[in-house]
Amino acid sequence: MAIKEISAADIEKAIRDLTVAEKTNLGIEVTVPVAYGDGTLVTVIVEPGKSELVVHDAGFSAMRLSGAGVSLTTNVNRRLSEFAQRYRCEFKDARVTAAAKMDDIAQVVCLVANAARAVADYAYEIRRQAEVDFRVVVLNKLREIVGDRAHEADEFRGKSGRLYRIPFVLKPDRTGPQNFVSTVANRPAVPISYATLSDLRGAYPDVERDAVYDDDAGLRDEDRTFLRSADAQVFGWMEADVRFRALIHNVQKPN
Amino acid sequence: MNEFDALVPQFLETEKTAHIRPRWQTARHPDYAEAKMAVAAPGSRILIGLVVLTAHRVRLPPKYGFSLLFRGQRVLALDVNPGRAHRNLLLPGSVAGTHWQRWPTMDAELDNRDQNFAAWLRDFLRTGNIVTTFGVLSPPRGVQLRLV
Repeated sequence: MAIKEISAADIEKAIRDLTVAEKTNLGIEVTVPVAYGDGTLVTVIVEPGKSELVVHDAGFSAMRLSGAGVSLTTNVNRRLSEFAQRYRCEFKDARVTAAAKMDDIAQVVCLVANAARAVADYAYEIRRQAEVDFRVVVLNKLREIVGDRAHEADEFRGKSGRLYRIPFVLKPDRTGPQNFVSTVANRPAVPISYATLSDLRGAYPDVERDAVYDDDAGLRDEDRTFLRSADAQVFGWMEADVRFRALIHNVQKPN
Repeated sequence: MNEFDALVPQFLETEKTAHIRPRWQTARHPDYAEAKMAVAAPGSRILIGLVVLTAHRVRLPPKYGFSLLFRGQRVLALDVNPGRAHRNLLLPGSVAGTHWQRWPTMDAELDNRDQNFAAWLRDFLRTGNIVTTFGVLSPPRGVQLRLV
C-alpha cells in the first residue's frame, strides 16, 4: 500500500516510542533508539555522581563482546578506548562512561549509547575462520600444561607495522611473551602463519616462534620447510604435548 | 549450503564433553564475571566449540549470559534477565525478559521461568547436548564501589 501522506509528528512519535527509562538498582536504565548489529536496542545507565551525572553502560557492551568469545586483552582494551573516545567517552574497566550535566544529559546519553554500540561492534572485526576450533584445542592443551602462562590471541605489531593476533606463552616471570604459538589448521593457513611469524621475528627477535599444525591438515614437507624458514619450531598436534611441556622450562628444541 | 551451515546441526545434535572446569574471571571487567570452557565431540577434530558464561555482578535481578560458539559464531544463546526489552528492530515484535536464541534464525524465544544460575546452566548444557565431568561454581556477586 502506497503511503500518500507522511506526517513529521508521526515519524517523531514512532522514534520517540523506542525510548524507555526505568529505575533499577543500577540507576536509571535508559533504552535509546540506537541498536546493536543484531537489532537489540542499546541501554545506558544514568546515575548521580559527586557533582554531576554519570552516564555509563554498566559493562553491558563488553559483556556482549565476552559472550561473542572476545577476550578483553590489553590491546583489545586499547582499541575499544579509541572507539569510545570518538564519542567523547571513556572505556575503563570494560565500562563506557561519560560525565553529564542536566542541561546536556540527552546529548551525553546519545554519545554513550553510540560508543557502547561501537564497542560491541568490535565482535564483527574478529575474523571468523575455520581455524578457530583448532586454535581452541591448542590453547586448551597449552593451558593444561603451562597453566596461566598460556594466553589467548592478542595483538602484536610486526616489524612492518602490521598487527597480528596470535596466542602466546608468557615468560616464567610474566614480563613478556616467551613464545608465539601459531596454529595451522589447513594448508591455506601456511602462508598466513609464515607471514605472521616472520614479521614478528623482526619485532620480537628474542621471542621463540612455534607453528603447530593439525596432523590431518595434509601439510606437505615443503609447507613445513617454508614455516621453518621463519625460524619457527614446526610440529604436528601429536607432538604438541612434548613441545608444550618443554616450554615450561623454556627448553629449546632443535629443528 | 556452505560447509558451516551443514556442520552446525551436526555440532548441536552431537553429544559434546567438557573436561576442564571453567574459572570465573573478573580482572579486566569488574562489572561482570566471565568463564569459558572448550567442548568437543569425542574423537572429532571438527566438532569443537566454546561455551562462554557471563554474569553481571551487581544488577538485580541477576543478569546471566550463556553462549555456545562454533567456529567463533554463536549457535545457541540464553540471556537471563537481560535487563531491557530484547527489541529486535529487524524482526516484528519484541521479547522482554529471559530468552533463548537458536541457530540459524537466532530469534529471541521467551522463557518465563524464574530459576537460579545452576538450574539455567543445567538447562543450557542439556539443550546444547553438553556433558561435563565436573560441577560449575556459581558466579561471584558484588563489586567494589567506584569513585564517581
